[in-house]
Amino acid sequence: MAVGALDYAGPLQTALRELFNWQHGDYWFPEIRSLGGAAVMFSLVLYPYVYMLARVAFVEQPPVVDEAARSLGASAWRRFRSVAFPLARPAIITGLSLALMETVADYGTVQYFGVATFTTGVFRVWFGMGEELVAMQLSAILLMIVVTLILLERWSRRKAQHFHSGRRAIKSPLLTLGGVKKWIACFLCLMPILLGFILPTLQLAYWSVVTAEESFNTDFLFLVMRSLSLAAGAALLALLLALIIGYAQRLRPDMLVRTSAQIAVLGYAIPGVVIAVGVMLPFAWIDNRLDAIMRAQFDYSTGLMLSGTVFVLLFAYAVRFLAISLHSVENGLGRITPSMDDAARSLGQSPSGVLRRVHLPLLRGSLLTALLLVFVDVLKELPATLILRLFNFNTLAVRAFEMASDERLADAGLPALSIVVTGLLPVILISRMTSKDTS
Amino acid sequence: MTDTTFLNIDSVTIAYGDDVVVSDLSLSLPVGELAALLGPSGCGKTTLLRAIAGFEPLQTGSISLAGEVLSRAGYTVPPERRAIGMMFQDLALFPHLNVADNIRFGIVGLPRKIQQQRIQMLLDLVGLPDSGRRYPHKLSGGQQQRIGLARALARHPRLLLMDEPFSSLDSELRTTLAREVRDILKVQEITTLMVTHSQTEADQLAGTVGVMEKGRLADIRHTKCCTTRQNN
Repeated sequence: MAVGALDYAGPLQTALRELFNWQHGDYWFPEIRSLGGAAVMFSLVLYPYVYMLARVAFVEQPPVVDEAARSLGASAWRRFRSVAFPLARPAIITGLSLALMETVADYGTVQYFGVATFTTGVFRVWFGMGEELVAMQLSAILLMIVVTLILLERWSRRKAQHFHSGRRAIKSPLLTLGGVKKWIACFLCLMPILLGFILPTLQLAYWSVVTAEESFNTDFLFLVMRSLSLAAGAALLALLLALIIGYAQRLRPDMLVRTSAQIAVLGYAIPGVVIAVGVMLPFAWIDNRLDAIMRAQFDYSTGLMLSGTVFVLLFAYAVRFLAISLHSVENGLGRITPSMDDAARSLGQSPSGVLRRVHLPLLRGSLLTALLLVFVDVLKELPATLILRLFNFNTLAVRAFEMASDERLADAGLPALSIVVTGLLPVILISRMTSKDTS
Repeated sequence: MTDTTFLNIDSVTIAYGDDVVVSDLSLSLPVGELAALLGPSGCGKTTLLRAIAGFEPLQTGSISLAGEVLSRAGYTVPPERRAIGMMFQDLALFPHLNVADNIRFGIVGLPRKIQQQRIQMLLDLVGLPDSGRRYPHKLSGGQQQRIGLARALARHPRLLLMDEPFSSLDSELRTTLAREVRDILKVQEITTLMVTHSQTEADQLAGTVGVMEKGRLADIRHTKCCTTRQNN
């Protein structure tokens, strides 16, 4: 949506033309729909991955490390370059690899910016040419890229173990900036959120208001309900699977269970388009075989029971986002000491009783977090939905993408804003829960 | 094993894979005895305690209580069906439940009125009569210890196991609380086996002290202290 704000007809260029009385061709403005434009867009959208991890890494560095460097005569710049940055490097690499994975997996942005990538290639050969085999080959190459990124990330985390001091983190004293430094710091911190969130959201809000009379109708409400129920169904399914895997790991932490859990979380790193191709073909094969058997034996056609229903979509979402819910469940279970299970057992509870009376009440927050995070991710998901959706089965993300692709940017505003607003709810709820826990 | 034997641990071996933690250990306790297992960290005393509670399976040997076999190789009565109370090293009080509900946890099957009476009786017994509505994190270490004991006693356990019950307390409080716990157990007449690495604590609380070394019982001695039997 930032494109809308920055392109020729957008408010910025329009304002410049009106202010300086320029005409088309009188001035130079960078081309937004280009590789560079897409890269800037990804930076604005994905910088939190690097920022959040780097922030934690810097904040948790014990002040004594900096003090030691200082006592050895190191300047501020040298302390950053030789001490703080190398210590935070594994976290920064993890953030970078996450951002890279998201970029590699993206479809909507690159398609809109007209940049050819593996994901757009898969779509082109799948829908445009009907070449399933080539789509699978492209998906396999994409998967290899992602696996390389995962290995890189794991390697960086292995190094992190050496760097970790093992001591409790002590917060460094705050440095108060004054004068021009204060304003430069404010400006630099404000820019990403201004360009990546505030301005695009205002633009969306404007378009939503402008088109509300036309767009806000029963069709739109139906679209919202369908998107919300699909996201809720997928979130519940992912949570159920996460609970089963998480609890199995707690009760029986053997090789088989641990390996299953490790495989289960890989889905998050795999691009939606690869999952969609990987899910669609075997499900279609099963459907066809089943249908053939039923026709031969009972003269009854079962049709496309799996690949032709919403089940395939829910399954793909669960594969893609199971890692998020499992991570939350594991985190929650990790905070419940095993002796609490033993205490409940010694007080007469069976394993299911321990789950019901001890774990579930203590896990309530983690389970809610897991549900909300998957819910929002499903709401935003585009590539897998585009491939696996039923005929004429739209979601908010698909509608926003279709409108934007048809250059009806204003009409894309309302569905896009609905996703943004829904996405903000869990942020508010989780931060409230966190502050409640802290207090 | 004699006629008065209540807890009988017979040639018990416990191992994790090839790592033998408790090896061919035998010990018997008469009813009402207050006993302690003393030994350094890693000698297998907590593992033995957990096996008595039903959390660890046995490789060889057997554990029986009042003549009933609770564990032997390939057979373990689940912890919830043993009626054995346990106080954990980290207490494991349920943080989402208040003190009264923590104590109630093991007796929810009883009528509500009896639950209330029992909770109040136990709170009085451990010297915290007005703490029912408080949550564990609002209590001091010593108070949490008392609630852990009250919770373990609520079901009228046949045997009470205590895993380093005072390890998180300072020495002064440890001495005071150990004395209080001993008095409470005497009142309740419950056979008790505790695990500790402190000789003072063992001598202060227990009538029988088993010294463990590298998974074996190296020595067993009897002190004048202590038993919960009224006739003693």
